Amino acid sequence: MRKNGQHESAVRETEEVFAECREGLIRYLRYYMDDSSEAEDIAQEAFVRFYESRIRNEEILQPRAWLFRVAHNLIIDRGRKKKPELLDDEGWMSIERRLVSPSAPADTKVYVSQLPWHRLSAMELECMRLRTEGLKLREIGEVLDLAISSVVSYLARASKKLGAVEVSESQTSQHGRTPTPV
Amino acid sequence: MRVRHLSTEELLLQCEGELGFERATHLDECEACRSALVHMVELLGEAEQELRSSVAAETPMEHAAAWESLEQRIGRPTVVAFPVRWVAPYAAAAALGFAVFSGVVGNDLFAPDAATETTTLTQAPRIDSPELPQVSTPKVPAVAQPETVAKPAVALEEITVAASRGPEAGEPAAPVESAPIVAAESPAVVNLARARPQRYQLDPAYSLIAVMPETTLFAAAPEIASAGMRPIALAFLTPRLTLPAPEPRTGESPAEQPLTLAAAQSVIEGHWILHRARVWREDVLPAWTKDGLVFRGTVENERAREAVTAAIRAAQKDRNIAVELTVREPAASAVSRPLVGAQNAGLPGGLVRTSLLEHFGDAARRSFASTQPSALEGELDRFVNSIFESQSRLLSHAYELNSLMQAVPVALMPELTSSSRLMELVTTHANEVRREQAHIYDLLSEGLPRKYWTYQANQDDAPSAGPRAEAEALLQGALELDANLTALLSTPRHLLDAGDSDVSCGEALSRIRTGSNRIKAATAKLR
Repeated sequence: MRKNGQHESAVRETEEVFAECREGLIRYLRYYMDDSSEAEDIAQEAFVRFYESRIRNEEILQPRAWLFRVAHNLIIDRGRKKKPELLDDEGWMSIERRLVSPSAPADTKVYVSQLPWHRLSAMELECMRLRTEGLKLREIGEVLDLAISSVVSYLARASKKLGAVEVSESQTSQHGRTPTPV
Repeated sequence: MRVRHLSTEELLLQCEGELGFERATHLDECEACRSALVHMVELLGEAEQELRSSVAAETPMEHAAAWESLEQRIGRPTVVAFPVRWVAPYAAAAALGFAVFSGVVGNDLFAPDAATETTTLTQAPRIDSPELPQVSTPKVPAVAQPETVAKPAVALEEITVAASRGPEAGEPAAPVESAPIVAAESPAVVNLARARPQRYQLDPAYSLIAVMPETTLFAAAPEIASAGMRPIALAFLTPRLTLPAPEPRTGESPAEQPLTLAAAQSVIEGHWILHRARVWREDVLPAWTKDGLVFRGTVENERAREAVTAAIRAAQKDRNIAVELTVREPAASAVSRPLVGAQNAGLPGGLVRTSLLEHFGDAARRSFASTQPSALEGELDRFVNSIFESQSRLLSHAYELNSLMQAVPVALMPELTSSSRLMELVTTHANEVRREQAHIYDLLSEGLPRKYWTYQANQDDAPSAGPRAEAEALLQGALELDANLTALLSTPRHLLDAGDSDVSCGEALSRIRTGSNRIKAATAKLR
C-alpha cells in the first residue's frame, strides 16, 4: 500500500517536472546531438532516473539542475561508449550526394548568427547555454560542478567576447574597482 | 574622488538579480553603469534568442508523445511480474541446461580421453612393482593405419602407457591388481609425502636488539640545520634569462661623460622614432656620439637590415639620423653542431603540460567538445602559444622601458619627464605591460585551478626608488615570469628543477602589475 502511494507520488512529481523542464532539457540536448531521437532517449532516461530516485525517497532539492546534470552525464557516457561509425558504400554515396547537391534539403534551416560565438571557449558556451535554458547561477554551477564565482566569471567573459560594454577604466578610481586580475 | 563603476561580473549579477544592495545602489547615481547594464541585458537577450533559434523547438505533439512514452515506462508497477506463458519454455531450458552441465561436470566430458592420451615413459612415474604388466610395444593393425597419414616412427620413449594397460583383443587378459600399486611405496613418493615445508626461523639468539649496538639505536640526530637551504635539482638547472648588466646605451657611459639635456632629448627622440617605425622590438637603439644621434644595432640578416633601415628612415621625416646596423653572424658552435634530436626527451611539454592536457580533457568531456587527442593537443598548443606570445610581448615592453630609463641620466630626469615624448613612451609601454600580464593571468586562471597558484593584489606600500629602479624591478619581474612559464609549460618533466619554483607565476604577475603602476607614478611624480 505504501509502495503504491510512493509510486503515485513519484509519478506525479515526475509529471510536474516533465511539464516544467522538458522543453528546455530537450533543447539543451539538441545543441549537442544531431540525432533528435538520441536526444529524446536521453531526456526520457533522465526523467526515468528522476522517478526512480523519488521512488527511493532520495531528496532532490533542485529538480531542474538535477535533471540537467543527469542529462549532461548521460551525454558524456554515451560519447564515451560511442564507437566510430564505419560507413558502407551507400553511406559514402549519401554523404557525397549531400555535399554535391546544389540545393540544401528542405528541412535544413540556414542559421546565421550575428554574435561571435566562435570566440567563446567550450565552458563559456556551456554556461551561456544553460543560462539560456533558465538555470540560475547556482544551478549552472550544480550542473557543471563549478563554484558560482567560476560560473559568473565564465559568463562575464562570454559577455565580453560577445560584445558587452565595459565602463572605461579611466573613470574608475585606483582604490575602488577591482581590476581584471584579482 | 572618482566613483567605482560596476564590473562586467557585477553587471551580470545584477541581471541575475543577485547583486548586493550596496553595489546595486550605484546604478541609481551612475549613468554609465546604467547604460552598460541596459546593453548587457540586451546582449544577453540577443544571445538567448540566437541560442534558442539555433536548434529546432519541440512541438506540442512531440511533447505529448514523449510524456506518453515516459508514462509507459514509469506508470506501470516497478515489480514486473514474470509472464506465465514463458514459464514452461524457461523451465525446460533450465532443466536441459542443468542436465547437460551436470553431465559434463560429472563425467568430465571435457577432459582428454584417457585411452588415447599419451604419456611418455620418461614422464610417467617410475613405480617398481612386480604386479605391473610388462611393457610392450603397441600392436596396431595394418588396416587401421590410413595410408594417407604418415605416422612417425614410434620411438622407445613414445611408447604409450595406455597400450600397456591391456592386451589386444583376443589375448588372454593379464591379471591387473591395482591394490599393490597403491600400496607400493616408492621412496620418492614417501619422501614427498612426509616432507614438511622448510621454514627458516630466526634464531632467538639473534634478536634485533642483540644485533644492533646501542649506539646505533640511539644515535644522535644529524645536524640538519648546518646543511643550509639548497635547491634540490632533479637534473640540472636550466639556463635562464637574467637581468642584463647596465651598459651604456648612448655611446659613452653617463657616469663618465654625462649627456647634456639636448643630447638626452635626442636619445628619447630616437626611441620615439623607433617606436613610430615599429622597429623598437629589434635589437636597435639610439646612441649619442660626437657626430650626433645614430641608430646602432644588430639584425638577423641582410634583408632584415634593409627593412629596418628603410623603416627608420621613413619615420625620421625631416631629420637625417645615421643608421649603423650590422648583420648578426651565426655562432660557430651552432653551425658546426649537427642537428640531432634530443634522445629520451619524452613527451614535449612536461608535467604541467600533461596536467593541463588532462584538465582540458576533463573540461572537454564536460562540455562535450571533441575528446580526440589530436584536437585536444591542438587546443593545448594554441593555449600555450598564446601565453608565450603574450609573455614575449610583455618582455619586450619591459626591456624597452628599462632601456629608456637607462638611457636617461638621473640628473636630467625631472627636465626630461616634462617632455611629452618620454611620458608618452613610458605610459604606452607600461600600459602594454599591464595589458599583457592581464592576458596571461586570464589564460593561466582558465587553465589552472585557482587553488594551485596565488595572486597577490596590489602591494605598492613601499616608497618608490625612482623610475630607473622601478624599470629594473619591472624587468626583473618579467624575467622571473618568463623563467617560470618556460619551466612550467615547455620544460620536459625530467628537466624540471626545484629552483624554478622560487617565485610563483602569480607572484611574478603581481609584481609586474604593481611595477607597471609604480613606474608610471614615479615618472609622473618627477614631472
